[in-house]
Amino acid sequence: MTVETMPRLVLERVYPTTPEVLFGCWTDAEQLKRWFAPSPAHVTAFAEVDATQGGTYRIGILDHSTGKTHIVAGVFHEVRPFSRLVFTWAWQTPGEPPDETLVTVEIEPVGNQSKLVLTHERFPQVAMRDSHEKGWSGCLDKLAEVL
Amino acid sequence: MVKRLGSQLDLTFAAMADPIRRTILARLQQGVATVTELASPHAVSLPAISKHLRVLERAGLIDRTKEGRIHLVRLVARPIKDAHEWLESYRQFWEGQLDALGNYIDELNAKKRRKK
Repeated sequence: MTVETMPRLVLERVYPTTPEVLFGCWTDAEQLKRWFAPSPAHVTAFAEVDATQGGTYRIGILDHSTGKTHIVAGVFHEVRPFSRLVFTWAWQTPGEPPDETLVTVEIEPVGNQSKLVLTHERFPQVAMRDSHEKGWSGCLDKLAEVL
Repeated sequence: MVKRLGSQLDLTFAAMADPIRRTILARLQQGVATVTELASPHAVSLPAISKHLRVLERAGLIDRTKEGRIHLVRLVARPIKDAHEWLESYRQFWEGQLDALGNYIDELNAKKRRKK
């Protein structure tokens, strides 16, 4: 890993569908349940998704080999229909503080297909703080203009 | 399902959240350096560099030793390696997820075609 850039995971895919359908795959619990299991040995046991800003989600993935259900949960920070989702991501382990990270899903049309860019970062607090700072400095700029 | 490392990872990523600290780490990947050497590419004062070095040291990413009057700084590779492995475990997880999403979309498209 090069240490010159902030360590983060960025994956890109192009799917033969519209941004509307692709967005729905992430925000509609029934659809999410159909695909969201990491291997044939896993099954999405349940999915609750409230894809609104500040809304929460919880997904349970049953691992057939161990009989255990892994639960991931988080909060939506940004929901921009058909183009952008930002949500926290934390695996829930009983008795341990959740390991909170940040996922951004960006969707854009490419010809008659759709490009999806997924970014996974470790430090949601930092990302949130930075965006707050940007918000603040924006406010201060406006204030300066008025004064 | 995905590797957990907890608070050390938070320390590592927080320490790496600053571009000056990342250039310091990149320089140290090439070998040991003095504080002055680390400060020279930056338009930043020596005290400011020392502050960055303290953050890196507290996060366990660097190690400082004194040889005579010179402070030598070296990289501690383990935490950065762990951060890399953590991202790799998520890469595998999401590659699988995005493949599964592709299969689902293919199914949807096939259904749509059958309906037509």
